[in-house]
Amino acid sequence: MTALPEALSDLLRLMRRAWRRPAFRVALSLALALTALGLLGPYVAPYPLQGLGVEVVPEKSLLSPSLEHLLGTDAMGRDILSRVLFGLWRAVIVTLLVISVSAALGLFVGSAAAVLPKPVETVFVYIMELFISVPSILLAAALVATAGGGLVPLIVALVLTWWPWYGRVAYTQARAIRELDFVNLPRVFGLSRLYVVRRHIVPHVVPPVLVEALSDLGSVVIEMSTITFIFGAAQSISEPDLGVMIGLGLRYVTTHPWVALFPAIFLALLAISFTVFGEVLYEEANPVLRKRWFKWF
Amino acid sequence: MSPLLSVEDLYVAFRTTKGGLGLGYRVVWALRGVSLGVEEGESLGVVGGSGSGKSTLLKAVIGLVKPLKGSIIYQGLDILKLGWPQRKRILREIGYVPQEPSQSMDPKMSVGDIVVEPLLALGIPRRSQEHLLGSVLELVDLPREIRGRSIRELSGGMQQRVAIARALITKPKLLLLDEPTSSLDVSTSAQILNLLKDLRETLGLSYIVVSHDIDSVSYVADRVAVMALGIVVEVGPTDRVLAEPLHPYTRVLVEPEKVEEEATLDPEVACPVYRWCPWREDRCATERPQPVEVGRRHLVMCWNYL
Amino acid sequence: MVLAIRSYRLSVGYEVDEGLVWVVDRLSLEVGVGESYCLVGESGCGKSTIGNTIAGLLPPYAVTDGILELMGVKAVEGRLRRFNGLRGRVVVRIPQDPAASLNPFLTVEEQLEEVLKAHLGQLTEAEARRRVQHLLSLVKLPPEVAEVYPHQLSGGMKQRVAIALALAPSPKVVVADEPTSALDAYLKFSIARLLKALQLALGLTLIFITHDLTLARYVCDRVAVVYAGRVVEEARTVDILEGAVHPYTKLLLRAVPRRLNSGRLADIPGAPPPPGRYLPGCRFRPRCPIASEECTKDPEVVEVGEGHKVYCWRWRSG
Repeated sequence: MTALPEALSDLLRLMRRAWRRPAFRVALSLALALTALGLLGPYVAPYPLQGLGVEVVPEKSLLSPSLEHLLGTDAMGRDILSRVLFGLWRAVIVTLLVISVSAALGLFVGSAAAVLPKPVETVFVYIMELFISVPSILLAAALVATAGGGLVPLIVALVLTWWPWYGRVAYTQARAIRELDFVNLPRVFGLSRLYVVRRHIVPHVVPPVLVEALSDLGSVVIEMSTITFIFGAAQSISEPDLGVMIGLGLRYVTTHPWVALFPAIFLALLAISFTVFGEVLYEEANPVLRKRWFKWF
Repeated sequence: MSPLLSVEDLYVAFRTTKGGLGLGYRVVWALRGVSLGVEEGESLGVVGGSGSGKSTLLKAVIGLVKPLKGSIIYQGLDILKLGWPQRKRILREIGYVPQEPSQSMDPKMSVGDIVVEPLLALGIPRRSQEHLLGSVLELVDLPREIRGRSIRELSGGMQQRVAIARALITKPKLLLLDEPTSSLDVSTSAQILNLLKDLRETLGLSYIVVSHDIDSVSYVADRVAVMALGIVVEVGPTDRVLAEPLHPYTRVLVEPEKVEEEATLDPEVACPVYRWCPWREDRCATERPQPVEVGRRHLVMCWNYL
Repeated sequence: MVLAIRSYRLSVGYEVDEGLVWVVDRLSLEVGVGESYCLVGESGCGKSTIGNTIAGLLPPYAVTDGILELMGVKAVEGRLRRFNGLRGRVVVRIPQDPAASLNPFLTVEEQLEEVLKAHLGQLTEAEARRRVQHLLSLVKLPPEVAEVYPHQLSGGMKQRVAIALALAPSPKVVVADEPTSALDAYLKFSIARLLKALQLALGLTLIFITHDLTLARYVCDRVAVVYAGRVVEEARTVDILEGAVHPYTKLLLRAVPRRLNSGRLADIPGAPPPPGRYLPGCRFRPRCPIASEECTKDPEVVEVGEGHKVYCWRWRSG
């Protein structure tokens, strides 16, 4: 698919433009650092078994930060630093997974809706609108209630609520160009419908979806953590999850604040850096009024 | 002499939605029984106001719209009755330059890819594609380096040349041009018109050129057809039609300063100019005027000339 | 004698990302009251900017220099622009795309009334209706048009409504910016004819901006040919069409296809320079068939006939 390399080079150009803004530089650097930390986390955590939640050390519970446990221990005696690193890893993986799967799904359904016959189009559009109207938290609750805890229901719930947004972006864009001559002429030349979609529609649809997806990274982090925070008790509390950690640590916030504080700080940094990265990128991709609009005021 | 291409009694209609929910629809007739022919080596101009159906005529010939009735005959064969493989072969001999070059070419494709695209379905090897690309760019006076650029970087005139190059790459016999100079400046327009004139001589092409501007059309056309509301009202040699416009609507296009009446066109009656025609009779409202031969290959659709 | 429009070394530029780009260079012109004056040129030459400047419709990021007076009132003085009371009252503009001036949410009557009330204060229902009908009749539209919405009108009718809107405040100067470009051949003519008739009937000063020389012939008393931000030739219409002297004007006239005249169209090689990238001296020099050394200096005005000015060193050798 020749669309991808071109879209990526457009993206790089966009990021280079965004790099001019200091907020972007800070956000991107922080986001990359945290992502790297998250991905490496499981390998550098000092107490990996505790981080995973497999090991518990009840006699060492609620210790304040020390040289042995840089961020202290939680109610089950697990090293908070390790827990946080694993939680970060989880947050990063889930976010990236959810965004890529949703974007791909949305891209596919949205583009298909624009090129297939009207009845199919109507059905696809209806499905997208249907899913958009479902709030993720309710969906997550339903899934968690039926499927139990764990990563899979969480990811499924998130993907189900996010994909239609990209579907809509893809659909709108595909629809806008499907009437243009350069989409219809190749059929006259004798080229197949598949060729038209691959060569003419996809390259126009991928960039806006890509930008939307990247600017949503922060929101997914927050949404995911909100769900786990609220339903943390329903999930198995041994699993390392930033939202769950905050939820469980709240009980001790007056006496042993670090239990909730450190996960919260990492979560906030991750969310903020992703969000700012996304916002600036989106702004650079969609310049509102290039010509010195501020002069109107 | 049998014509290279002729359309016979062509009818094309579109459905537009109406009503708040888009549930109702209205039928708009773009072509209401059009018959025209182009001889080999000849250039036919088609002029008319907006809504006359002239662009739709080209789109029907090339296959972008499907006629409800009528035939499109190329070298003796009715294209509409052929199977897909045969149609493909015939369409190779007809080049199409659409309106608005900026919309008919994909801004995300390089110029080279755009021009070569018509060859892709014909199984032509890569090296031949390159070769044909080079020669066709030379024909339209574009530098070879332009191959890698995007059409967004090009001026209107250059974009139009690219569109013409794309239409020429399959070595067609007939070129269909839809408003080739309407979006261009005076000087650029002159360049393109000169180019079209030269190409005709060099390549022995036949043209059907559609425009709302009768002056630019007359520069490249041997014969001109005047259309209004989906029907042809007059067709004949360019210099005859321009020197002495016979049909009232032709007069409106050729010498607008002499027309006193408000020349509105009425789709409800048989003859579009019925409302204000100085020669109108009762039957002009109910009976579509038949073509009257007023000169060599010169026809007027008007009861007055019978 | 008060001139309708007088400019002295008027320059207009825009502040864009790359810096300040001047698109109109030291324009000095005089248009008398009731005159019909054409600005002819190709795209990018600055004619629309001139029209917008006269109408007081420059964006905030535009920069001016020089002087512009409208009906004796200084509207532009150096960097300052003072159009309050002038814009929309004394001078109005009819844009190229009629949809640009019509509000899709209001009926024709409502829009006309809005403008009338802004200029005449409160009006009774009856009075407002009467004036609206009067405006519609001026532009030859039937009375029923008052109750429809713009999208229900054809292109030609929309343009007429736009003209009616422009005439509502009883202006003195009307700037028509390519009012016929979006219309087909016959409508081009009827709108041009309408404007001409209105200009004569109401004693308006009309600035008609176009790239179509044939229309200019029909509508205007005088023509100024604009190239790359400068006027290159200015004369009465008939003198321009039959006795043009500037090489660009001559080429332009020969680049327009004229029926029954199958001589080859003039080919002006190259393209006009983009705004801001002008070389010193005559801006047409790179494309001029008779350019020479002296053309590296900015041409000065030469009066070659009565009211016929040209800005060229080599006009004699044409």
